[in-house]
Amino acid sequence: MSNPSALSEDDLILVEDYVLGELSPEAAAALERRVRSDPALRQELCALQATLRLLPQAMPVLEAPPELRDRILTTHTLRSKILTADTPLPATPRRSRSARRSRPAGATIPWGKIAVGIAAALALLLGADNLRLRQALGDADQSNRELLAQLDQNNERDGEVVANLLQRPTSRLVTLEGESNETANAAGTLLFTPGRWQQVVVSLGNLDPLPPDEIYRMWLTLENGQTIFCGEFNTDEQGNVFVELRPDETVPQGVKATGIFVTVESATAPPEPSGERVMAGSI
Amino acid sequence: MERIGATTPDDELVRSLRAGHQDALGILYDRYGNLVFTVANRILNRTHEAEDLTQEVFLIFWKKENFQPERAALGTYLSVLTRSRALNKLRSRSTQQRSVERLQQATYNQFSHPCPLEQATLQEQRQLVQQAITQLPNSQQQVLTMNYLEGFSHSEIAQQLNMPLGTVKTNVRQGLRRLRQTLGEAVG
Repeated sequence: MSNPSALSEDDLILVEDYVLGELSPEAAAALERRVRSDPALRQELCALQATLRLLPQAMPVLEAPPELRDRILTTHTLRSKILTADTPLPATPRRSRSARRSRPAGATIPWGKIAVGIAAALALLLGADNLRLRQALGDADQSNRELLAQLDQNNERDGEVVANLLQRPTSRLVTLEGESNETANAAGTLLFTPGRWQQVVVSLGNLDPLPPDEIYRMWLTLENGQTIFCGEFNTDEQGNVFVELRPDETVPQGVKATGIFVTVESATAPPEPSGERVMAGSI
Repeated sequence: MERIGATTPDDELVRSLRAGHQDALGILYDRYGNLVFTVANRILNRTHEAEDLTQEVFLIFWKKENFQPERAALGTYLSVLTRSRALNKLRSRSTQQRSVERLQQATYNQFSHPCPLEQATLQEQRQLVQQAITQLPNSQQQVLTMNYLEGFSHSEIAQQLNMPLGTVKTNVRQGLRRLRQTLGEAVG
């Protein structure tokens, strides 16, 4: 192999192996020390690194799917708004729709708009021609606002979790409603990605805080009748909960999830849905 | 700030993006989206994962703000970032599929300054690099591509091509050397 560089053949092989990641950590560190004081070695190293950096240009360029551009820009817009929203958010009582409409022009980004943005982004991500979904998103407006309100009151990590979920092209939003007399006013949202049940974000409101020996548990129902334990939580003093659940159990491949429900259980009970069902939503 | 458009230089677009002008991201995506997607798809070999990674790369780029135009050309910066993340993803599925060995190249001073060719247009870069790689013998072109662009380790290449490991290593090194020599002063 010819070697027109100013380096010895041994040094050239050493630098080549370095940029190809073939040196041991010790040998790589030794070379890095030499490079700092040896201009010829450094020049060759930089040229070889540039050669590798440019190598992707040799590939025939693929056309990214056209919808990817929209997805990225929508997510960017959404994340910008989530991370820059600085309006103090009311906890309770919530403002009415008419009050929100009368907000003066030029004010800072209202959280309601962000919620609408989330819904719009989800519609985009999921395909806006799904009537049932659009209805679900419309119905979820209140829950979305709760989710965003909680999000804004919490730290950036929550924003990251939601934004990461939103980034996924198939992310979905499920609305949950109270089922019992005591929880008739409870409502909430579950954000998840089908097939990726390892991470779901739940935002619920108007759910009574439980005594210390009881806990809310969330369950996923499958089309084969199986029930999967998603996780447990309690509310804050105002009856709100914003929580990220990471279910241990996974959904068997090919089996569809059909619904979500919440029960009240004894905190020490085994993970079986034996307590009263208080909220539910269908997928 | 002046109005930005398709001809606005990268560094101005980056400044604009950091100042909160979201149009800049669209223009940057139009410029580099296909390149990022191509690199991601070549390594991951799954379209939906390549799409996710393309999105991830652009959002990381927007959020992290550690790109310095005076130290790197944006096209190669995004390629390197994409390749690095794609290899990490490959590693995470390695238990089912294949082992990823030392594919993350050493990064000493990786971005100290863009080389002359990186300061040329993307079209010029493509033309010159494609010409240079076609001058390599097939054996070198194949192993260098498999190693660097597709994420296969030397031992995986040896196995796939039924070739002694030593020959693979030599071909990769010779291919890199010849490519560097062909590109000459364009890479410094």
